[in-house]
Amino acid sequence: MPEDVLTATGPRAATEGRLSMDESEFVRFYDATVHPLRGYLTRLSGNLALADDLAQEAYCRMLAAAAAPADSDGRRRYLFRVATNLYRDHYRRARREGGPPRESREPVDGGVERRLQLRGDVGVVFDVLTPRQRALLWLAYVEGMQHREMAEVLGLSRLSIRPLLFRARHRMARELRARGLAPEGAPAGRRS
Amino acid sequence: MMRWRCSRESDTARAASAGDWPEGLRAHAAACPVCRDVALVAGALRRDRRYLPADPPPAAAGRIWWMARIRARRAAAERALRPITVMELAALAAMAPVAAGALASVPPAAAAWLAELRFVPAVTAVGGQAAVSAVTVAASAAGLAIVLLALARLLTRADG
Ligand SMILES: [Zn+2]
Repeated sequence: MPEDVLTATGPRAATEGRLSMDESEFVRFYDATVHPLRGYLTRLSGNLALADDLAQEAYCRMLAAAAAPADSDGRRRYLFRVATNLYRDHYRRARREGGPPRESREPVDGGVERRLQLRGDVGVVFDVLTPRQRALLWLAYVEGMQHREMAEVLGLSRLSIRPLLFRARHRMARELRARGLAPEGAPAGRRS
Repeated sequence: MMRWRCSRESDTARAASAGDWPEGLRAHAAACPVCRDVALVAGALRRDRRYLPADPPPAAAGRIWWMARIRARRAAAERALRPITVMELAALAAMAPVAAGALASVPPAAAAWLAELRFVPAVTAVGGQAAVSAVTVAASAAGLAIVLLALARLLTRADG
């Protein structure tokens, strides 16, 4: 394998069967993104095994994509966008075929104990939200994305993010309170 | 009607996500309906991190990279072969009428010329005509195939 094939990047590289990143660059990117992406997909899908499959596919597609951005923040958003679309496709297919679109009730990694350990309060409350609401809340409050970035990841207009996020947040807050999962009085967090 | 935006929403989200509250902001978030929800949700998501998998994912980075490379090369090979396949089909389609035409009209002059030269001494007049037909068909087919395959190669290079 000639060296230029291993190191070539950019749009032309993808059309010639090359990847958008060389291996060492990809390993660095992967190390920085795999846990956040896995967490996002686990909460979006409610299934760790599915999250791992989708994450792997998202990385493969990003590597092969001619349009993948070259800067690390852009790449990260692109990766989340690909992963979101993959989950959306999976969700639609599962609904069409009559299966459970959200699979948190199924055993994860072959063990009920593992499943319960992974669920947590958020896993339980996320069950009642729509996939888009779950994605919005995660991107806003775990990934700390701006509205513009969330719009890019979710394929929505920037102006639609605020009302959609408000409704998702309000619904989740209501569910948390209804289940007694809201700390009494002051907002949650370490008192300084 | 419920308020649905607050100028301190972003600060509240940051504080709740970090679990580190400046004193003034905590008091605001306790009183503001927008920031109360932001604090509750962002705080729950922060606490949720401990439930998420921290073990190494099943596929290592190197394996994913190699897999992507194999897939990309396979896709590139398929893309490169596509024009050739199209041109090969076109070549076959073009050869069919040529072959039919050549078989139907045997050039008598060429047959006579071959017979005079005793190029194929054993052949009869009819046999000579058949031989000339075969030569014509083969030559036409080869010529067309060469032209079309050359075109295919050119297209492949332009595509890559
Ligand atoms: Zn406020």
